[in-house]
Amino acid sequence: MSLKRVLVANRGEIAVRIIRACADEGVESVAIVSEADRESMAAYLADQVVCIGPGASTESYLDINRVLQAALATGCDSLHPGYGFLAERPELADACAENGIVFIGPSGDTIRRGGDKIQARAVAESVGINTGAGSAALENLEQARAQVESIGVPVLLKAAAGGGGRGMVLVNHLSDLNEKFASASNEALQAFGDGRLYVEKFITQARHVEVQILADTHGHVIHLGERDCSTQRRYQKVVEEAPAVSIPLNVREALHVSAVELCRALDYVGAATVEFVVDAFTGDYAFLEVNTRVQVEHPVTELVTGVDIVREQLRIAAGEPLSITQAEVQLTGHAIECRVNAEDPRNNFMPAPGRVTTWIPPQGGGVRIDSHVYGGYLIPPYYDSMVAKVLTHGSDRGDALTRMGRALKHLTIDGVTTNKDFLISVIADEDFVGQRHHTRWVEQDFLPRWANEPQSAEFKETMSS
Amino acid sequence: MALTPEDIKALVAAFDASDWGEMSVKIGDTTLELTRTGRPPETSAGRFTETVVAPSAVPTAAQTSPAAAPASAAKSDSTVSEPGTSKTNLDGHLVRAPSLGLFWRSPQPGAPNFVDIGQEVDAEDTVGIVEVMKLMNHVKAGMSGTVMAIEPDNGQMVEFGQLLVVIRPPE
Repeated sequence: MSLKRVLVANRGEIAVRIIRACADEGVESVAIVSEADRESMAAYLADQVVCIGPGASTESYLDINRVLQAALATGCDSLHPGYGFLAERPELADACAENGIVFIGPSGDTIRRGGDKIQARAVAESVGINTGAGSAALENLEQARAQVESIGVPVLLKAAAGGGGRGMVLVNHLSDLNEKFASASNEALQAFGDGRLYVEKFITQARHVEVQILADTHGHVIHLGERDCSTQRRYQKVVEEAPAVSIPLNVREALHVSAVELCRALDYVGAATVEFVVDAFTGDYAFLEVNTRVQVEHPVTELVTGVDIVREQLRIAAGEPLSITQAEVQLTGHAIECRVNAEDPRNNFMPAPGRVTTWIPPQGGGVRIDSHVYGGYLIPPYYDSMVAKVLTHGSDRGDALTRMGRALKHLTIDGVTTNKDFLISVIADEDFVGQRHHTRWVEQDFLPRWANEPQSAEFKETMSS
Repeated sequence: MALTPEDIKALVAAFDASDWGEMSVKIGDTTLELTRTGRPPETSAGRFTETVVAPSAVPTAAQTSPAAAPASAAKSDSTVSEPGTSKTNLDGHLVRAPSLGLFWRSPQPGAPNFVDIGQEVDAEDTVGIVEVMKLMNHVKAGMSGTVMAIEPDNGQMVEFGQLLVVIRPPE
């Protein structure tokens, strides 16, 4: 079968991205919008638009019944969930199946097995993929000491009930363990009402590397290489690139094999991302998780492979074979993505929604912009603050970086505060250029330095030229 | 500079407390427009004919808690009067769809309609159903009066905020 009409169950730039892929595949698109998104770019570009609820996403983009009703009422045969919102909710995939709508993604069961971290780790271990040194919940200090001695310092003591980076204590020396264990347990009890701890090997300089997978219903599972997403702030990716040139080739190849094997073991169908943490010093790696959706940063892989991942998702959902084989996947050059957000980096990255008065995106010469912004667009306060993904492609990393510097400087966005100057400084930083950055680099090294710089990167350049 | 959600919340609260019909606030390059009149401010070019009041600026808290959000509630509860005209029979209370769904005029096929044009209704009377995946949301009249118009056909898909029924309050 081929798809006739896709419900685009998302908003923002990814909705626009999906509408574009539908048009290229000759498939109609129906956009759902909240009241706050009636004037969104997706609403302008889709073949049909329906407003499903008020601005609050719990009554619009997160309401499975409304989303499904919109698909049925507009005669859609398929639904693309994008990323975020309902994309990794198995209930939506199940509900689509029950109502005869093709969910453009894996089955509900696969989402449950792949998306659940504990289950996914078990599957990874069953196919021999390292899931990292660590312990189950610790009973007492003696047990903690035995664990730390066997793993070796440094380790992280983590609250069993914790999350989002809270309740973590770093132990650098075994002699500190008594004191740190008591304070971590105390802190966990205060913060989460549960003092149980577990211990995890701490990687001082960790790289976040992820492998892009495509799997069709004909048994083909291929990878499109890897991405390095080590530039993060509070576990949110800031800059992504492909390929991960700082990682030795043999390690990258091992990651590819592991990711393909894991997806085979999961009977995976669709686009997936298998995430790993890689020790920048030793090259040791451990499995983190599987994302069962298209990722924000998928375009960097598209730029270096020439494969349109969203169109492949549509083909896979229609039951067609992948348009390329593993042997046909060739990497060309290097690609970088910067996430431009409406936020104020000088004010603790506070979101800054508002109306964009002037919007002049950079163009040409290896630049790609994925965005839903236009001049006069009102960025609503309900949703995330990303306004554009600025991507550049070059012959190598240096070339791609030069083009990124140019692209960001040529981006004009007036009316709202953005992190543009912050990004310009990040990609020009010696550590970043020299690939000495890691997942904690932005917070530990870069931001303290940058906070003391009174002038923007653009301003300095003007002064020195 | 740009408006923060807190700023917008404060401005909506100030608007609520006032007896103004419209408010326009310009701070730097950002303009916030609020209105209770059931139509968009004249400066905003709406693509949709059924644009509702208190544009996209009403904060989440206000959306989810009706008691805290008279300005957003105004879109379904307020009496609409065209500026420059006296109270005529064009006036009415507009009942709008609380959600996307299928509009049904009767509780089940073949049953009598909840309401017909010309009928007197009480505020608590059901004027129709908006069905969302077998979930039957009864839509109340919201005020007593006479049913002047029933916009969608039976079984038609309606969008969020779409006009369902016009009720004329008693003289």
